[in-house]
Amino acid sequence: MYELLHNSPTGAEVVIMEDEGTVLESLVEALSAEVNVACERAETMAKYVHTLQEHEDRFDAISIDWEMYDVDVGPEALRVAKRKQPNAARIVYTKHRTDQPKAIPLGADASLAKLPGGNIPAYSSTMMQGIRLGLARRILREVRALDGDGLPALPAGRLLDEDTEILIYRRSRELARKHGLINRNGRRLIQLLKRRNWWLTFDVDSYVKLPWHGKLAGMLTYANASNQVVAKILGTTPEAVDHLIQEGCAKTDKADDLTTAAQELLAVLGFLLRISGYEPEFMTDFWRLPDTPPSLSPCPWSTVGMEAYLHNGGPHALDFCAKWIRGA
Amino acid sequence: MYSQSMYKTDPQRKLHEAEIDAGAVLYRLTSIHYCQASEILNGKAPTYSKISGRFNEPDQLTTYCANNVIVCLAEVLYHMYRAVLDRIRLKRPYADVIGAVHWKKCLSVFAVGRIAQLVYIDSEGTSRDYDSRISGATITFPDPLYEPFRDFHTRVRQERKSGILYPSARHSQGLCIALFGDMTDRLQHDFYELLPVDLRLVSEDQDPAQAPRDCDPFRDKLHATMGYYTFTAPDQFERVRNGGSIYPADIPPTGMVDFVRRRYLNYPRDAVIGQRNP
Repeated sequence: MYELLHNSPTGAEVVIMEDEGTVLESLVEALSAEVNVACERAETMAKYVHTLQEHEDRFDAISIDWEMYDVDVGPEALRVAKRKQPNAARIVYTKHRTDQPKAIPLGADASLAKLPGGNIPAYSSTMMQGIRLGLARRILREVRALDGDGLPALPAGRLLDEDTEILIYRRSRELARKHGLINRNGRRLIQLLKRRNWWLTFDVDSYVKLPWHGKLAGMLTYANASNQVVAKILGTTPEAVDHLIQEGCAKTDKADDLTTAAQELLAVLGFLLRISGYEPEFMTDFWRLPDTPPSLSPCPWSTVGMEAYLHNGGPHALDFCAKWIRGA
Repeated sequence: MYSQSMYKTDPQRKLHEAEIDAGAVLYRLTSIHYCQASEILNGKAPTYSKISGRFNEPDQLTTYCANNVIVCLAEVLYHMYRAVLDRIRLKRPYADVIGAVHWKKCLSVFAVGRIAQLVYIDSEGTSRDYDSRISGATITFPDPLYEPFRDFHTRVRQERKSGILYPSARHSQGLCIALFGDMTDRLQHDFYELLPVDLRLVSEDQDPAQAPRDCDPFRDKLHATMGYYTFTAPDQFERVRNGGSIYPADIPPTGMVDFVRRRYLNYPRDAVIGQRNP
């Protein structure tokens, strides 16, 4: 769970407002390198306002230099951020320790002291937490649109604590599994969970390069199918399945038949991946559960689920199943 | 490197004899599950699907490919459209119907050695030497199955020809190629590229300038002549294009294409609309 909460989101976007050029570049470099974040630079207040206005509700976190060119711009910068980027975390980064307490009541989620020698690790860590907060706010918005209840609000003034994040992780995944295939908000939620690295993504670019037995291994993992079950489906032993998946060829008397059956199983799993909307996380349900309503008419495995149907029927059922799938 | 001159047919369309030169680039838009070099020209797709095609019976090894990327896209989009309608007719599960609107496929781009003994269908020679019913309108007959084609490919196979070159019924440029038997040995293994593609059917009111909206065939009227494609690895696509192996060379990595034959004044510019980055 610790790793899930602390893994880096994908494709995060932040704005960094900072008037000192060298500091700005060191902050951009730290975020870009360490957590692969896309940074928009704002060297002036005018550019900051323009960036936030032009890309409304786009950024995950905003880094605010309280004092720009000897003027206290922090309060105004927070106001603009709250209005134009309501979900983004607002992190104040200031060299004046006395400004830090002012920031939170004015809408900052965290404030951090700019130390003379630089405190890049602390800055990166805080911004990272800010990005997670920004994404959590977006996730909560979609969760609420799906009538998700039982989740806390995320008010300004503090970063996420672990318990809250675990709660959001569990509830949002639960709702994504329930609504992700049939509801637009559900699909939007899944896209956010993917950005947070809380949802498995089907990497088609890597997949197409695999040999067929590598593809079969991947699909069986998605479906959460055990070697014992696969052996029963293919009419062979778990050891033979192991060998087939490792080598792409069978080590039995009827090697060709086994290879053909395994390729048919790949086609069946490919069908499940497609009706799962290419979301591997849905494959287990389609593999295990009986008929997934609503349905125009039952499919051969609708009363028991595909896994049980193939397990009970062996190669004959697999052949019938593959023919049924290709029949349309 | 792609060159139009490598697909040799009689320019006067008198003779049916045709061939493909060594080094010619071919395209095949295929399943993401079966797209490796060893699988691309083995012709086994009909034996898996157990269904007849334009120039094959269920158990006849046949590979369908093309010398034009848009032909591949248009052909597959058309078959997706028909597949959705078929699934509704057959009362298939809801998820299967919905799932047929969006497919992830893979465009295999590869070069072949010389393939001789091909028959060019769009020629007087075909009409004269094989079947007088195959000429003019019938050559681009819109349905996938058509009895004169069945008789024709049966005769072509009996004569031990390598395959058939024919114009697509879904796109007015380029050529489709049906290769008979296992042609894996013709593959030039030093050039083989896999480009993943997202294909989507869209609703009639889809704005071509926008990314495709979710489309539910139980709610929306499907666009009956156009579909959407995106090459999902644009860098890879650009690399292959820059290597001179994509035709048409200036096809964008994403857009909407017709899957009916049209006359294009500016090709391929007019053949892809709504060009935008994915």
